[in-house]
Amino acid sequence: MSHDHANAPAFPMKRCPFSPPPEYAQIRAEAPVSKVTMPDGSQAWLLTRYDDVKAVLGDNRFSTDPAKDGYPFISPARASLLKYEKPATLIRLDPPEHTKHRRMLTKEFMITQVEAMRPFIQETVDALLDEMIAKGDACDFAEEFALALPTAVIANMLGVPYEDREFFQERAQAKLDLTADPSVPLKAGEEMRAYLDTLITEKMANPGNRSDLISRLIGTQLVPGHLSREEVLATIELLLMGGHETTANMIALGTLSLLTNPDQKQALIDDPSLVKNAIEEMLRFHTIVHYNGPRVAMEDVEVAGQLIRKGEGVMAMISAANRDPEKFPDPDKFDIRREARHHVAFSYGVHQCLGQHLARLELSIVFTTLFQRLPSLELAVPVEELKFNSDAFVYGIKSLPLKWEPKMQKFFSVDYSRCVGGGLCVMAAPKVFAQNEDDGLVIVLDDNPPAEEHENIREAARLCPALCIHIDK
Amino acid sequence: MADDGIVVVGTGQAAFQLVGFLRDEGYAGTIRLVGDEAHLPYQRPPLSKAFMNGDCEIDSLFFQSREHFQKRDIELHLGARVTRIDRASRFVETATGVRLPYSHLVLATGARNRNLPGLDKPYPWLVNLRGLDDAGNMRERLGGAREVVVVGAGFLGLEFAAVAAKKGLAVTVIEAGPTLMGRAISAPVAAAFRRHHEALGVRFLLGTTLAALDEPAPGRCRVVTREGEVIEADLLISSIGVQPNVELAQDAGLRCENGIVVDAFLNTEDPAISAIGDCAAFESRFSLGLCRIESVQNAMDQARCLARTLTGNRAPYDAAPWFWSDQGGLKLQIAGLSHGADQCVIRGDAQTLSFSAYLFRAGRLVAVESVARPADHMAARRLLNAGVEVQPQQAQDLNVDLKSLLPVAEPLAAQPV
Ligand SMILES: Cc1cc2nc3c(=O)[nH]c(=O)nc-3n(C[C@H](O)[C@H](O)[C@H](O)COP(=O)(O)OP(=O)(O)OC[C@H]3O[C@@H](n4cnc5c(N)ncnc54)[C@H](O)[C@@H]3O)c2cc1C
Ligand code: HEM
Ligand code: SF4
Repeated sequence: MSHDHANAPAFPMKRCPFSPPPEYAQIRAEAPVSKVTMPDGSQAWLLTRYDDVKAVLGDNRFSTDPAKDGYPFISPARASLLKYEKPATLIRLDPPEHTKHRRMLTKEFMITQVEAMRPFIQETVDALLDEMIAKGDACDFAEEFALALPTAVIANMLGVPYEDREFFQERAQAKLDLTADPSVPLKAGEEMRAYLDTLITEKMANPGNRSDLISRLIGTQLVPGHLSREEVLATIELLLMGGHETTANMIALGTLSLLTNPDQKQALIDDPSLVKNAIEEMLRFHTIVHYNGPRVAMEDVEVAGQLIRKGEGVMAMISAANRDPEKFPDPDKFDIRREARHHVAFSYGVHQCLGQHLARLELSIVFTTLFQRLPSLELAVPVEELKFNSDAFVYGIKSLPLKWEPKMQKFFSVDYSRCVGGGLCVMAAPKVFAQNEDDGLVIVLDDNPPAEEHENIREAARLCPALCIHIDK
Repeated sequence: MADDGIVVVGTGQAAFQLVGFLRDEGYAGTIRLVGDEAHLPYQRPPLSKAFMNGDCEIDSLFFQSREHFQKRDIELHLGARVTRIDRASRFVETATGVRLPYSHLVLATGARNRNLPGLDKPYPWLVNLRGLDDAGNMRERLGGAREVVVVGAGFLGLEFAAVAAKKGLAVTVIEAGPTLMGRAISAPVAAAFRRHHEALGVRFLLGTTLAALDEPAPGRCRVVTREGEVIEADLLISSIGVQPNVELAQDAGLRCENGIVVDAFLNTEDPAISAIGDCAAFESRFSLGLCRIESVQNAMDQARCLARTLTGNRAPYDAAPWFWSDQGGLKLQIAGLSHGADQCVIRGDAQTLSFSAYLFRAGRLVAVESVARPADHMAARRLLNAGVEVQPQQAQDLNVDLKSLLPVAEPLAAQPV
């Protein structure tokens, strides 16, 4: 390239467990728009300021198409994966192609549509926690909870058998590994598509009256010929991958941040209305998509006074933008009370995360349930021993060993979701149960009642027409 | 005359609650509970919900153990069908010829499912969901089934359809009427539930009936609709409504009109005979003429009211009816009786799955149907009980706290709900 700078530092730079590479801060302060050297020796612009990053991501004169000359690749593995990716997925398409494909999915991921998943997500969270608690007083939280939940959710939404999770989890991880030999992500992608291809065939042969997203894509796009089979495959693959790795890492890292900031954890338990804010802060602070989509200029564009020429690559780092002190005072501090909603952890512009409402819903259910159920949750190993996934496209944590105090054997438990407010429990055991003034739903007055109440609680359990009350003994 | 105590025919919710309340109220005489089912009294609502879904086992359905009845000195006659009432000599007779004398007789005979017309013989794949045995049988069959047909889009049929669809079965619901839960529910609520069920994968064939039903292969059923659509399935659930068990009363010369007719004190024309629960037809300030209600609330509250009356605290039955249905996690709660309603306003957004429909008859609020809005439901129950006037504009205005229309904010625990 003609305009190479002599001392352009090497990209990617090494990050820290809880912050992007320290060089970003320095570059932002000294030369906010400057060049870096990519692994293949080419150079690209690195943007680190919030406004500049947004300016590029929101500007359609920058392309995300890896086939375009000058597109910067962050690793050889990524280059081999993206260059030969056929057909290109949403994330790699430019308007107007992008617009056409994205529009087919917009409705599926609208808030109202996603809200319908709430009961399923809550049930799954409850069941996973039950399982964890039933098994003992410690677990690998990353694997057993953080990954399991979004996997179950996206599998349910798409209509992919949850039993096959190990298969697609492994393939997704292989695809996102930036250090692996280039053949690894390629092969993983092929295997994933072959698997999904069989699934599509099965669904087409046996349409029944399924209501999953894949079946709808088949019905509304594939059969009428709006999308080719390859395009449908690529779309499903993107959703399946995008749907679980990201959210999984966000759940694990968010949990970790709260555990290492116990006062904030307590504040959240005491005031669940903080959850919304806390989630935005987790998204900002960790910005797990730390190598978000590279761009290449399709014409000469000026950004913050610097001319970026046609054909030059740009790395507009959302992880750097989210730590810009101009927009987030004291940016390296994790603070669930701060105003963080303007973060760009879901990116910005036309490629802004399609699944953000789903991700937010999952996170909000997790963080309104997790510490309520397990207030004693804590790290089982020192923080320094944790291993982070610095080398993956999506930042995260490989394993998060947690422990908690084994719960006191309770005499009974209540499944609030079933309650219909009949009040028969109150009739049988008025010292233990009451009804909420507003909605009539059951309230437990005493969850560790004296023995003389036990018979009344048994009676309440038998009378309750919705079988909400379980005697655990 | 010797006191022969109380005989209760039926061992359902109404009968079970009645005998408990009688003892609670201090009734010391003989109590005989006579029912034709072989099981101890049990809960019906979970049969089409938690039990069908496999969330609970049979054990958790029974109200009480055998010892409990012994302890409370309640005689249980299970598997005993009462075939005759002799009003003159005051006894009932069972199918095996046993005679049980009474001073007061309570009929809590409930209702039974209507049979599908035109069936030539019983088929193993055809289930009528009413009792524990039906439910056990159905749950077992559900395990091996892939396709099911539900005939009748009433509450039970839909609850079952949701369970089956969530299990991944292909479910087709055939309904003669144009909407879901037709007679009982307003159009916006029916439409919301339809969207919910369709999102679960349930397919609806509305406005059609069965033209033919047969067995193309052993264990398979084939349904042909009036339009000629052919559907094959492994299981067919019939839930086309129920009819009250009135024959016993009718044969004894008591007035029956879609139910055993009782007065405000739940008494038949014979002062020694009362009827409660699903089998009783009565008038109240909430109904237009005679009504018969199939709900846990009605069985409970009538049992409580009658127990008080029989122990000297005579009071008319006057509780606002309420009912709930849980269809695949989405809850419908209904307060009041909507028949004859001529105006419907919505609180919230009817395009979502969380809103309430307020039904008015000649300008008076008569019923509220709440979809996942328990607070609206609770307020409605209180408003109806208190007979408070509510304007349609107030009902649909989210800025009006309907509870504030109540005369005094009584604490919830103080009123029987
Ligand atoms: C599957 C299912 C789900 C339901 N879900 C809900 C719900 O969600 N919400 C709600 O409010 N309500 C619900 N209901 C309705 C509610 O269960 C009934 O309204 C309630 O059980 C009525 O009680 P009952 O005692 O009047 O009648 P039943 O429970 O029908 O009991 C009557 C009993 O009398 C017996 N009997 C009849 N004739 C004779 C005779 N001649 N001799 C001896 N015994 C006789 C019958 O066999 C039966 O055991 C549901 C009902 C069913 C079947
Ligand atoms: C906390 C969780 C998540 C985070 C942090 C996240 C972040 C992002 C980011 C930063 C992008 C832009 C990528 C780029 O430009 O390079 C993106 C795009 C995308 N995400 Fe997410 N995501 C999350 C969850 C999900 C979920 C649950 C789905 C659902 C299936 C999803 C589907 C997508 C899709 C399809 C795109 C491409 C959109 C386009 O190009 O038009 N994501 N996401
Ligand atoms: S008896 Fe059951 S349904 Fe009724 S209020 Fe109590 S817990 Fe809720």
